[in-house]
Amino acid sequence: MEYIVGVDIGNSTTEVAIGKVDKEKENIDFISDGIYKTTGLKGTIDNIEGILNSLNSALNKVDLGYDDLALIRLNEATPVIGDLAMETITETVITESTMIGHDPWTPGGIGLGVGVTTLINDIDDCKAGEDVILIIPGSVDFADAANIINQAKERGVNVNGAVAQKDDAVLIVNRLDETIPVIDEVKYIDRIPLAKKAAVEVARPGGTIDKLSNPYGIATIFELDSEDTKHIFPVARSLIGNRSAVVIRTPEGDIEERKIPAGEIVIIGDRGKSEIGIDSGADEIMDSLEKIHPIEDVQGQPGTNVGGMLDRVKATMSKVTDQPLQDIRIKDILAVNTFVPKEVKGGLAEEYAMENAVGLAAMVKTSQLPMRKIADKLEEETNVKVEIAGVEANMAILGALTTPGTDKPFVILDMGGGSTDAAMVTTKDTIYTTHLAGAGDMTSLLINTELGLGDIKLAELIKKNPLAKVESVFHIRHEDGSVNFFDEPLAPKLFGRVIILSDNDKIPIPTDHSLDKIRQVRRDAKNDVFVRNSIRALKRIIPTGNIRDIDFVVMVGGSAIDFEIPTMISNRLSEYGVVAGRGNIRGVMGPRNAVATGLVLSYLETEGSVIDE
Amino acid sequence: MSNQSQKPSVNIGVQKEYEKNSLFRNLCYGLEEEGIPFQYFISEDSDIHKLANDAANESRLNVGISIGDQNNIIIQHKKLDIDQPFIEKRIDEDFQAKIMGSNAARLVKGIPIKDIPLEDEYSRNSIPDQKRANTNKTTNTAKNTAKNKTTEKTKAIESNEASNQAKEEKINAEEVEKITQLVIEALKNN
Repeated sequence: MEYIVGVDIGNSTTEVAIGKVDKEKENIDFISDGIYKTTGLKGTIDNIEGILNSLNSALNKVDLGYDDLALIRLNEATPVIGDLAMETITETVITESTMIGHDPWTPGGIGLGVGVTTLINDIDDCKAGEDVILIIPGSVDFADAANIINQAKERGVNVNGAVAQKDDAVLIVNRLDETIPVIDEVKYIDRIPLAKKAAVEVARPGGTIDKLSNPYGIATIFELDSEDTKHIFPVARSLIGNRSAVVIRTPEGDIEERKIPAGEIVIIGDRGKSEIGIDSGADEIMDSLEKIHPIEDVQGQPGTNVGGMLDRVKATMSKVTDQPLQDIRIKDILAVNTFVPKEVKGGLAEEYAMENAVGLAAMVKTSQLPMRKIADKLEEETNVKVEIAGVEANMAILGALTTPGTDKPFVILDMGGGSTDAAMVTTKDTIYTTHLAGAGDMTSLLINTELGLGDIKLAELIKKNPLAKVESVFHIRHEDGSVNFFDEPLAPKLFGRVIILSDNDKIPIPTDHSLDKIRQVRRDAKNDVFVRNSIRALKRIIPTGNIRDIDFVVMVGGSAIDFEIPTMISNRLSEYGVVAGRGNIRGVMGPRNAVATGLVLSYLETEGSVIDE
Repeated sequence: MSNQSQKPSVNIGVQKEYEKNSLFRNLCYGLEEEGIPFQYFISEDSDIHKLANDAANESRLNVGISIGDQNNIIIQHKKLDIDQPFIEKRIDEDFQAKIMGSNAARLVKGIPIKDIPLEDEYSRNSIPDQKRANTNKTTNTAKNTAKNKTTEKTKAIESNEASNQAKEEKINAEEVEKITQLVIEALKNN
């Protein structure tokens, strides 16, 4: 009887399985397992710390020490790493402050007011009959502002609307003899050009503005000709859906959406070469990729962000493997269209515009990782014989086959953090593998940028957990509509917020996005990365290229634990009549531990047990 | 039990010495800006936890506020424990009291509450420099035409800090009453 250990170093986690082999070397009992985050980049000597931690936790569970072990089997890790980049390809610029397009919580008054922008302190210079839009800086008290407006109106000055810096609009309007539309919380009020014609519109609560969001509405107010109307159209469009807005007419005033030159990538394949601009969008990039596949290499235009990112991936890989830079090749990229909220340049109230962007994941493959070095070091640390055993994909298949209900021919989809790997085994035990760029990290990046979180940890939490909305101090509503009540009151900082339900924690998301919006972004990101990659992977590895020719797909790896990714893929693949689901290694481990399990199982085969041909 | 004959409103319990305090007034402004009606009562009660609790129990919106006891403001919900109110905070600045008012309104509305910053971001910047020269002139003209009460207040354009003290004495409970009336009317119209 002896104890055998399988160690799988993945991009994000290091997993261990311990098996007990009986005397006849016929049966293996799995007695323990361990998991720890991978320390350092996969395939480097830094991994030792993670391996030892993972191994120790597995040994502790069954009260064993290094002395009891007969052999440690390390996977021949696929030399694959991924990296990510995000390129914004449009930007919105407001020149000469033509508009204020933000949505304060509580604008005041109702209706449309047109007049000339005038600072409140200069109101006495206005004559009776003049049409005025009043600009009220934060240093002016709302009661004073209301008084000044009332007095001006008594004198016959037509104060038709106002723009305030503080959150005072309702307070001002409540003190007026006659209601006018007032917009507040305009942060950079001192940048509003004075003595220019302007229009202020506030809709009723629950409504949206209709004059200033209509190009002909603006044309009517400012008496524009057809040429100018064409010019003002982007302003109208950007105000659609707002409850309040200000449009200021200046001769040079304009709003434009510019395309930013984002660089080009060159895809080199067996069947030719394609140059494509990042700004042409993800779909075109992926189309030309599929046309040229299999890929020899991908290069980025030097001096651009995309060029820098691709060079960085290659440089890292070159350092890890001690291979010359020119030998490192990018074997796959995944491009995804997304939106990035960016503060509008020249905006007065910190307006945001959703800019188009392309997210890019790249995957590099080299000939070999220096696994021997890790094995030697591990042997030194533990005094146990360490051998490098088997190709990762074969081990994963061996492990995944322990999932009850599976049989050959089948496909495993290994969805990790850095890459999506797939392997297919036919009835004749021929194995095909492929490695695709884009996995869990890419999903987090998409969620992070599209929601404008600026916090990748929070994005990961959103990715991994369902959402809920705190509706009262005692209850929350889950994203499926069901309600949960609590005995203890919820913290005020959670009140009214969309929260992440992580284990027993409730983490508030500090944005104004609705629950539906966050959920949609989360699901779209998963769909764009995992569902698309699963289809791409299957088309590549199935010899016939026809997904209908396989029966079983087993999902393993860290991202297969996700609460919705496996069902999203299952749904998509059911269109092809494929049975797809989350793996359950050895019937107990869920989608984890496939490779480590395979490493232990394969011991019998290498030790000369009978293999029927 | 809430008095069903009352209008739905946030109920504020005010300790006697805070009746004419600017913090109380700004608390009301916060509620008004959010468009939530409110009413208040003066109390001799020194226990502001109990005061907030009583206020909440009387409110048909289930939200009560108490102010007093060394500038403490408590926002309380009828269904919360007397010793564990929704928010309890010592407030030193008027603008902070206004945010507390907004937060009480937001408790009614069911939207996220605002953080309470230590400094008012608008007290410093705002009027562009080239316009500052004109400010005095405007103030003077305004003074001449303004009614008695507003004269004091127009000074605020010159200096924010000075105005706080000046107004403290000027505006009394009547004004609060007036505001309440305005809000209720506005709601009716809607």
